Amino acid sequence: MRGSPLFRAFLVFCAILSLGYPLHRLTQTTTVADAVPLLTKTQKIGLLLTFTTRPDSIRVSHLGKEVWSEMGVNGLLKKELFLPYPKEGIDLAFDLQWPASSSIAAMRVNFTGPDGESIEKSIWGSGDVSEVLTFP
Amino acid sequence: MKLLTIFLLLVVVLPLEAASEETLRVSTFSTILTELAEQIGGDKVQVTGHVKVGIDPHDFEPKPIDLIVVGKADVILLSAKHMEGYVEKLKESTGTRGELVEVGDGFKSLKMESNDGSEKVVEDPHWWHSLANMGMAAKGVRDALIRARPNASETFRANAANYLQRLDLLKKWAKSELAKLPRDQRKLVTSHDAFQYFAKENGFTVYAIEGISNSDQPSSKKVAQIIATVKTQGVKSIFSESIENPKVLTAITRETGAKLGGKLFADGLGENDAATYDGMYRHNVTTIVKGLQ
Repeated sequence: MRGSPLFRAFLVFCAILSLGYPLHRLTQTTTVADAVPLLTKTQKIGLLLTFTTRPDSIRVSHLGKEVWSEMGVNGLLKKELFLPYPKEGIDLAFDLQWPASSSIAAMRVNFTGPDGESIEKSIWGSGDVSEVLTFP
Repeated sequence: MKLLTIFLLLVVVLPLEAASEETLRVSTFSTILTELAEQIGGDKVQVTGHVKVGIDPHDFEPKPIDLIVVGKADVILLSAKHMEGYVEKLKESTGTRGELVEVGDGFKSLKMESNDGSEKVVEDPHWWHSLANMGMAAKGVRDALIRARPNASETFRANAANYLQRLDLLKKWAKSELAKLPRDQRKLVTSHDAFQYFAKENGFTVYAIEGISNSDQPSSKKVAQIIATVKTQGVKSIFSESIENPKVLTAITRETGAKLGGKLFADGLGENDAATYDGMYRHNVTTIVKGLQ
């Protein structure tokens, strides 16, 4: 090998440096934090609620957060919500307050998913009622 | 040694002999069944739980002293679904004067692939992680106690109704807690494969590192698969269990960056807040929600 010792040392240094990046790529570990975040698309869902007895109040929560509430309900209720909707479905928590004097009451939930398909489910109870419904 | 054996026999057998004619002697082979027998039987039963808290039921083998007690029992409650590999030994050596009730055989099994590398399909014995199964088990135990002591049926029916009501409240609470977790994040990575019934009831997918028993050792291929799953699915936490060596789990967390989500009770009741079924179930749900949120 020709050239000054300094030049030769520089060439060796460059060669080692050029190996650094592929070596780093081969040996690095991907952590959960580095993984591509699994973002769930927000989509439109529809709720149509009908009652045998009008509740004093109703609250709908998704993932522990309130997404809709109504006081002094008159007749049926209709609402469109935009929520993250994975293919596994969603849980909606309903908190209802029916008049304490009323006998057993019911609420019919007509749920329309992002694909336009409707599902119906019911909640029965009296007084304060909390229930989670899973859709679809 | 002889003296010790005689002493142990006296300690175990004498109280049984002293039990009144009316008291039903019940032997159980899981901490879950001990609770069911005690809660439903109330003061009409004397329950001997042969598998104590902290003992791995997969590895439990009855000792001679257990066989003596079982021989005198009126009702013997077993988890079934192949949890008690010694059931034939129990039948043969005790003559089973009492009725042997295989509680878990009263409802449908979940099947899963064996973790021993073979294509074998095995029955999952951890049925108590389903609240629906627990309800059926409570009814099964109630009926077995009534068959053995019909004149106490009123007590057994009332106690069972009370227990079922508590299970209903627990179910409502669990649903509301689990509703905090998006359904696409319900990936449960656990050390041994004990949560399939829980998963089915609550919309989870289980990725177990070991097989059905704690003593099953994971292959390096299996560990690599779990690491890939944790990374691609973005699983935030993996869970260890009350009876086990968490070395493999620690290695997976190091490799993936996922955190250890805490200990779950897989094979029965535990101590402190997990000393009852209600407490154990609440502990597991709270730990899972906290870990995956």
